[in-house]
Amino acid sequence: MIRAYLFVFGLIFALFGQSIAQDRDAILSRLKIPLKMASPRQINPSAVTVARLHYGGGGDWYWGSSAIPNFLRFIKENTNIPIDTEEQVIQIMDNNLFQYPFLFATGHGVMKFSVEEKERLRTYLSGGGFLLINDSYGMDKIIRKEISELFPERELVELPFDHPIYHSYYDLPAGPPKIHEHDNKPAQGFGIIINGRVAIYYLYESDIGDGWEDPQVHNDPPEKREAALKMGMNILIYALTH
Amino acid sequence: MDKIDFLKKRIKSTLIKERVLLFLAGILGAIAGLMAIIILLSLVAGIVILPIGIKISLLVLSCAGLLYILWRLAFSRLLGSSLENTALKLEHKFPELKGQLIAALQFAEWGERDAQGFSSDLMTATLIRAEEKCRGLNFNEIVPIYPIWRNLRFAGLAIGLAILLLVIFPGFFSYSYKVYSRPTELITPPLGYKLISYPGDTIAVKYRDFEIGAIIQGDKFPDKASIFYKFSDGNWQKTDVELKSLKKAASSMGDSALIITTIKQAKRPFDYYVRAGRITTPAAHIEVVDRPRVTGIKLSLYYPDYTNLSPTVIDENDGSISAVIGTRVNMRIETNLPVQKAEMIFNDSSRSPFEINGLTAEQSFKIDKDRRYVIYLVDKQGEENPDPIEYHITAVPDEYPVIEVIRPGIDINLGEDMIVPLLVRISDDYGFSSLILKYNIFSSGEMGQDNVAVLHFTDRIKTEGEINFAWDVEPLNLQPANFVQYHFELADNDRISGPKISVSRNYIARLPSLDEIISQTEQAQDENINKAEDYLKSHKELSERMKNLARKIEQEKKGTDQKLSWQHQKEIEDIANKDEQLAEQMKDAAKKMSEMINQMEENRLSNREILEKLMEIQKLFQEVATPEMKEARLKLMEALKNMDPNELDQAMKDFQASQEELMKRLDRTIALLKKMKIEQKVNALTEMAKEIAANQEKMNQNTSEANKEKLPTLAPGEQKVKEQLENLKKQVAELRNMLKDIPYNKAEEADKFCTAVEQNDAGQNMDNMSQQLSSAKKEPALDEGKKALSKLLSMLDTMQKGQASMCKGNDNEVADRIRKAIDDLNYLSGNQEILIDNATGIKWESEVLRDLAAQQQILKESVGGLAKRITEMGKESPFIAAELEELIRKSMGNMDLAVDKFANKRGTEGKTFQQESLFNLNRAAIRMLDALEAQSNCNKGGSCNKPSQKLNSLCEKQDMLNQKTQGQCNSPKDVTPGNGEAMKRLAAEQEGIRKSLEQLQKEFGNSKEVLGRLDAISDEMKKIIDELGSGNVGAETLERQIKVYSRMLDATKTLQRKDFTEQRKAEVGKDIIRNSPSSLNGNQLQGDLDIEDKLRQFMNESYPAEYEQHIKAYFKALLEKSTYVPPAPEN
Repeated sequence: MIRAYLFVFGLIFALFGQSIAQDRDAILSRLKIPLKMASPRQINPSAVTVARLHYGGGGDWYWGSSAIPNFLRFIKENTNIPIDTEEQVIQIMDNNLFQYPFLFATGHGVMKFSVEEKERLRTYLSGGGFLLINDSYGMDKIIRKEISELFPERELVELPFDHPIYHSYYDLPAGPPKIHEHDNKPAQGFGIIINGRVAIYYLYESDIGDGWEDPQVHNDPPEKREAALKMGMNILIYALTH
Repeated sequence: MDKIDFLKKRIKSTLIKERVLLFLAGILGAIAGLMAIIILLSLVAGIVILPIGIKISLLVLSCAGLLYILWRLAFSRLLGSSLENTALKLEHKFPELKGQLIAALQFAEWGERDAQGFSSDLMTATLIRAEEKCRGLNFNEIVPIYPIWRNLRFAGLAIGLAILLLVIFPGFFSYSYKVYSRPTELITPPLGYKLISYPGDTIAVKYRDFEIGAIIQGDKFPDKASIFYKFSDGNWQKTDVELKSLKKAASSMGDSALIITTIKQAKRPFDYYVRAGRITTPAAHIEVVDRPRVTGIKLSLYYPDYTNLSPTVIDENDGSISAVIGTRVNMRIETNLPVQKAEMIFNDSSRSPFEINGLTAEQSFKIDKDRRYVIYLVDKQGEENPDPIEYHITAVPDEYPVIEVIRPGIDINLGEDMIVPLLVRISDDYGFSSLILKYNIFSSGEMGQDNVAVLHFTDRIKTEGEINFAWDVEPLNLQPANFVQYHFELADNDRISGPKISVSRNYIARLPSLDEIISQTEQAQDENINKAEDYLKSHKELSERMKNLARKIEQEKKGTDQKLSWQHQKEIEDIANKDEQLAEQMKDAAKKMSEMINQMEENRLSNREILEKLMEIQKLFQEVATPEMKEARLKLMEALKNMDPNELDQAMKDFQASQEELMKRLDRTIALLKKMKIEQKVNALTEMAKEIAANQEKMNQNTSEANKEKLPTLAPGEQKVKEQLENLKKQVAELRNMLKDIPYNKAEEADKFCTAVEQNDAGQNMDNMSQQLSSAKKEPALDEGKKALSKLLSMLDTMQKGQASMCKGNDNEVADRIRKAIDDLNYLSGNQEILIDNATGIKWESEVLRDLAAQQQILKESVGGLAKRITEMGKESPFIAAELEELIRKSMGNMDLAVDKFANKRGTEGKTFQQESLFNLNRAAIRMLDALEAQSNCNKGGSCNKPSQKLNSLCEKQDMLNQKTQGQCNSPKDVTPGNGEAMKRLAAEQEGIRKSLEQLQKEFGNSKEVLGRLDAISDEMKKIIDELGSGNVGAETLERQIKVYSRMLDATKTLQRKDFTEQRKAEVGKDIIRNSPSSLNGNQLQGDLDIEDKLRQFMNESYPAEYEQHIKAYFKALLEKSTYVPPAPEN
């Protein structure tokens, strides 16, 4: 019995110690999700992509169909990161959730996770996953509620402008950009921090998702679109390196 | 020879006598000796405890001594002495014999064998003489009596001594007898007490305290005693007991006391003995046997069928049970020993026996109430189980079902559709048996009969769910001011205690009277207008204050750089704060107005046009306080802070300008509100007239159908219609008053409208009809009724025409004016273009630039004239966006600058402003076109909001389809598959709606007006189509259709509301410079994973296959524990 305890605790401490230092690739490699189950199409296993989160509750999770491809193209054109520009749609209970290190949730209306989904999402985020939530408008209340239920013990904190997420690739000294006008409030970026790493980044009153869309969709000026893409780039780089 | 024989005989006789006497004396001596020995041995035994060897030796010696004494003193006497000796004793006694006797004996002896030389004569002579001489002698004199007496004395003495000892020491000889009678035993002398082992050889019960020791009894106890005990395989252990302190009990045998020690919780067999003084009890053996105990409990729970719970087996050695009432429990216990009795003893003392089978026992019982019990065992030895554990039976009651009416959840006024949208959330722990809707109709304050409708819902709702349905109260024939009071009763499926019924609170769905609706609407409208007027007044005051203050400051400064006085600073601050407060209040007012519109949507008076216009007005109200005004206020405060006179001067001017703008907008909003008030009133009165006419028609119909007896009962109804007409007249009087107060450009039409009502005398016919009805005169009553109806319809016709010319005619005029304004804008824009062309290529020093400036000035004045017209139009139509005026103002500003630049011969710069002016003019024209489109749509009876109009149309189709489907199914409570063909047609209709919706969704998608849930609606529709197509139509299909309809309605409402919001959303965000949020503290920054997170993380790791299952199971178990405490390392 003693041996069993020692073995298990040894294991815990060994893994815990490792997990702090391990980078994302190592974590992903440990997840052991078979690639062939992830998607029927052929994808480059080392290529990074952004998965759109198909959440429940009735909100328009599909809002902004051109956003993610545009964003991924921007990353591809401006970095050497291997990128799969095809947008993937994922639900939390999908088998291949853990294959995607970066989830993007946007829309209007209600976002709701079931108990099982919360459990799984919590595991995903605690294990190194990243979730970017873009309030396209009117989701603030429900997002905060869901996050508080997801991580009741953690505080959704506004990230200061010197946080690495604003400097991981581009220097964004004024924090998140204001892409769209919603309620005449400043754009704010909030985070749930796990183990020193931002696991959920929630953008309020910024709407970079709209900024990623095709120019004619919202008639955003180029500088706003660029600011949105740069912010997205910073978030992605941060998520991949922390 | 005879003589000698005789003599010998005599001597022999003497000898024998002597011998006998001596023997007797010897016997007596021996007796004395025996007594002496006995006394001696007794003394020895009394003094010392004789070891067995010594004791035996003493006994042997004593026996030997006694035998010797017997021999020596008694038996040897029988053999001792002889005739010669006796003869010698006789010679000695009787000297006169002179030896003759002895001689005679010798001669007699010799003669017979050898005379040894003596003559026979002599010998004979001697014999004769001896005989002669002995003849007179008493030979017995030599027989000694003394030894007898002597020994008798000795014997007597010894016996006397023994008796003495016996008297003095009773038991003296009994002890010595005991000692010597059992020579092989060590007999101790009696010590005055006895020691009896207690409890002796016996059986003790395991784990029970057990007393061992001895009973001491006697007159004198030793000071202490020791109890020795030894467990099997153990060593002797000793416990001393002080006897002095023992409590003694008196008895006939002397005192007695218990020498005792307690063996705590004896587990193994043991021996013991007790020693007190010189007495030691024999060792006793105590066998330890176990008591009966319950070693295992296994519970099998069989829940009541209605709970749909699977049987559960609890094999945790825990007899506590918590289960729903009615659960049957099979309890199987295991015992460590065979038992003769096992039973449950409940806290109410009732018992329930187990059926015993070897080491197990079983019984079954039902849970009916909370109880406590112990398991009572008795083994074959009669031992009971020690300290039985008390277990609890918790009878979990089947909770009452919960019903929550989510929608409407409040008392409501019925809308025109006469639908009560109901959304009920039900929940229960084990399921439901029925949901019923109970309602009563209240008419004129009287409650009608109870009505019950059973609501069937989908089987998918097992223990909780939401039931959504639209209750059509149209068939209830509610009259205005009637109401239906309803509640739900939800019964659960408890078949043990009987279904429990939860009742929701009573809700009321009221059909408001037209009077009420009008009154409420007017009140709300008045409030809006009053508020807007208050705000306008307040802003005027503010503006006036600011003007006066600016004047004062200017006078005080008089060109100096004197700083602003403290009082003036405070005044400005106060004005700015007041302005901010008013802005907030206006926001609230706009919000309340939105709520009012929501309420109005529900009532049956407001038509779509009015509502949409009100929504536009609400938007204008919301836009009254523009961001520019806020900025002006902030700049004012900033300037005040910086104390820069020039900046402050400019800021005050800007603030005043913003106030002017605000007042203008408020003025426009008020004008529109007032206009809408009239339109609403006109609309309401027309509706009232329609209702009166309809009621009269109904009365006529009832009269024609009624028999004579029933006619009088119709009279009050006719009176009510008359009252309604009177009321209409009162309302018209109010409209007239309203028209006096509110400037209205259709006064003539309004007058006609009012006159039509005022001059209507149908009331007289109604009175007549009522009287005829009371008199049961059918035909005259009917005649009067028809006349009244005719007059009413005529009045209604006039009213409707009046309304059309007042409202729609006005709208058409506005639309024409907008068209004209668009033409003018285009014309002005064209002129601006020409001027731009004219400015092209002109040299900078050319005088032509000044001409251009003059032309531009003329154009600007024309635009100014148009701006005034647009402002006026804004008071007529809410569709003229405030932004439009702003654009024209900007255009005029650009023209001003262009004029200035041209006047100063700065042609290039002037042209730039011209171009900007043109751009703003064109934008204004586009906005004007939007306004025209919206206005025209309203005028045509269509929606001002195209997407919502389309969706609204789809909603209506869906509603109709729902009704058809419901019709096919007869009623929700009796859903049967409908006619196959009819169902297919319905499926086709549903498919048509779905495709239209998808098309609409595409349109929305392209124009970024996506509705979040349209895709979900479409999916639901597909399911409905499948169900309708396959003829598999049930309550679920109807429910789904209602859900679809409800969502579509929501979406329509959202669209109607979103126009303004969309504009805001589509706006490019303006960067707001602000300070960084404060740095994260250590905890926030670190956000360590807690143990739960870590465990989750580890659960997803992979491990060596042979251990993986165990490791993950371990993590899972840890995760399941809410409080995880790591086990302490074992040393």
